[in-house]
Amino acid sequence: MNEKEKINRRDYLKYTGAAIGGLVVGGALGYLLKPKEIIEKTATVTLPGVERTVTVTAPGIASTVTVPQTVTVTTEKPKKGIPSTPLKIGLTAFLSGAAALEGKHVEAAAELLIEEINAAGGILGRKVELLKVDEAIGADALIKAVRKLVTEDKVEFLVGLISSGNGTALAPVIEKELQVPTVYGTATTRKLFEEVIPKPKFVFRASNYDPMECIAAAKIVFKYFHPEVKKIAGINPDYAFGRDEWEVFSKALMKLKPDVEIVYEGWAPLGTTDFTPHISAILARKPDLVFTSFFAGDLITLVKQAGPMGLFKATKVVASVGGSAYSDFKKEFFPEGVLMGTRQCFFNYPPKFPPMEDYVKKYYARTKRYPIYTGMGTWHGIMAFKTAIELGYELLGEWPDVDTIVKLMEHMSMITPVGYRFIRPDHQTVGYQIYGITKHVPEYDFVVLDPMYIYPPEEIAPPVGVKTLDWIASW
Amino acid sequence: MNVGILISIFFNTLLFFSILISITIGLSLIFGVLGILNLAHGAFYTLGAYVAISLFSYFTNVPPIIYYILFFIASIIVGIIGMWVEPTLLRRVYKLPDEYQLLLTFSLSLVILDIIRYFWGVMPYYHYEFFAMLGNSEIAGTIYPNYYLIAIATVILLLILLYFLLFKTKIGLLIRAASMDKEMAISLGINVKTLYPLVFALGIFLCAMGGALAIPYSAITLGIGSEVTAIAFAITAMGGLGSLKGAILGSLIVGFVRALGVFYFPEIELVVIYILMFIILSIKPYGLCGRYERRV
Repeated sequence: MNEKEKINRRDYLKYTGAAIGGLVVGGALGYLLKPKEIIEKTATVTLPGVERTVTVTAPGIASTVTVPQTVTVTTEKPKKGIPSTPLKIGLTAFLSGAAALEGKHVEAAAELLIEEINAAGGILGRKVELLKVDEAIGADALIKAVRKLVTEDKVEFLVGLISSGNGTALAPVIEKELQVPTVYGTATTRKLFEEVIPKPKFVFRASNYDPMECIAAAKIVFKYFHPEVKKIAGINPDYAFGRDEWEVFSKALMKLKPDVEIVYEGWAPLGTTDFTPHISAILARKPDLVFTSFFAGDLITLVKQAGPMGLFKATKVVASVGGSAYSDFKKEFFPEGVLMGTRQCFFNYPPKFPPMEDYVKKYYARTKRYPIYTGMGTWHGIMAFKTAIELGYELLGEWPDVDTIVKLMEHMSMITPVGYRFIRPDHQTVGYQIYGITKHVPEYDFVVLDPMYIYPPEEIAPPVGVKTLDWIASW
Repeated sequence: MNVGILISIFFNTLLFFSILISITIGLSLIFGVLGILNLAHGAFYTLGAYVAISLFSYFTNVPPIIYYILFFIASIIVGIIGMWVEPTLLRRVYKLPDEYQLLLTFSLSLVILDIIRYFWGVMPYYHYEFFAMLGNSEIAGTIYPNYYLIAIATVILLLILLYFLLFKTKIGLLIRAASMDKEMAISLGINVKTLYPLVFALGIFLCAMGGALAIPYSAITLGIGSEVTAIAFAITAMGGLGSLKGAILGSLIVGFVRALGVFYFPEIELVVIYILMFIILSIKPYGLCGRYERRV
């Protein structure tokens, strides 16, 4: 070892001292600079009087709040993967034209529910924003508008949709291209899940669908309403929906009672002003039963013209979708004794069911109307989406991805204002179907249903994977 | 075929005729004189219904004649709106190519329907008292509401008045002159600037009357005019654009074919009307009574 390499005692002490000093300074600095540890403390301050000013202080933070008697402040655990942006929901409904009558209910139901969700803090803390598209622009323009909602506006969920035509046009685009969870509030054609998208992943439907009301009508006619029926006539809207309704109803009834004979099949376009030739033609053929799937304003026009010409005295009448505007069916023109279907929604059913009682009150206060099935389907859609996200978060500890959300929605049961409803694995929601005989009562200026016939879905909805007409043929 | 069915078909023909003619006569009149195919006609029909139902809502338990007068008041109000539309909007496009007129009148119809939506909302309106007051008649075993008879009579009366106006008065002579040859009429000193708003208002008055008359038997919604105006345009083409005789003949034929068709071939009710139109236009390309050259 040479002289230079030798470390003498003085140097040794000097370096050691410097090292210790460095450690002390570094440690002190490190201690001072380290992030503040969050210490949870619960303090209960009990003082006489109503209000107190409490000052909460922590290093660097000082705030003063005035609190009434007791206040609980909880610091939430940081949430993993929850976007800080508002959650955008796209709503499609008829906002103009004659069908806006039903669209208005969709809009009101969605706005009412979203206001409530936001007032309660949103979905996992994210505020919900509603972006609306008018369905009246037609299927092609609607597809473009929805594409923009998803790609540009970053909508994470689609809900609403009334028209079956728009629904079947949009479904393949959502499944293949847009891949965003979607719940149709109406768009009730059986062809959606039987033909257009037989293996849906993203598209759901929250309303009862067409075969349910047609098969229920046939069963009720056969069992209670008119067991002796022999000659039937139909007057239905001249497009896919009306043709489907008549086909399923007449086939189901003829299967139950093979001697039933069709004496008249009339078709008129939506917005028909003059039904009198049809009414004359029906009267001349003297059927025992007339079936109509006209709805909303058109049903009002049909009933107003049929009443004075004596149709309701000459024959029994079934209106399968009277639920479309039932609180507008005033006693002055809507007769008693019509078998009327209202899908899953009528204001006094289920009786004494608190969720429905509360909902009807809130809804009436806002719209001066009673809720109908289009709005209930939309309500169910938004709640199913919200529940799937909250469940997913609880299970995974993070904001669930799209695949998880749709998987969770797939078997979801839920308490809704219109009873307990279940989304089947084939994405069709089922629940009871309401029918009843129209009656005038002093408490209401519109017709109510008494007696009511409530059918469970097992008896009127084709089983999962079975097509409606095949199911009827198999009875 | 029994008498009851014949009578039904007869009255159903007249009823549908009276609904259609209230639209087609105005369309033809306006096209014949102003040279404009008014795509906003259906919107004015709807507006007539809404204005009338608003007036109706102020009256309950009044004699039927009051309701009847309200039809006329409502139609006159809408007619006055029409009188304002002609000089402010239509006059700007007379000299432009036809597509501008179509664009303008189509936009006008959208604007009118949106104004209706804004003021009246989308929920249906209905009035039933007037209809119920008048009761029914029984003709050869067929029950027919008296209101329908009144509606038919009103429209036929208006047609007769229109005939007198056009063919027995001086102003009618001027209108016919302007319709036959506009340049010649102007050079002879006819002031078309005062004539045009009158003619447009007259056409709009008639179609607003059609809408108002629909109140007692129909729910009043935004779509009330959609079906009949579509058929009315077909009839106007079938009868000959601009021809009043053609409009009357076309409306009668379509009313009859529909009443008969619904009875015996309900499957093809609507198609029958268009098949008829196809046949007529293949034989007479300018329509049954058309005297105009094709403009486009």
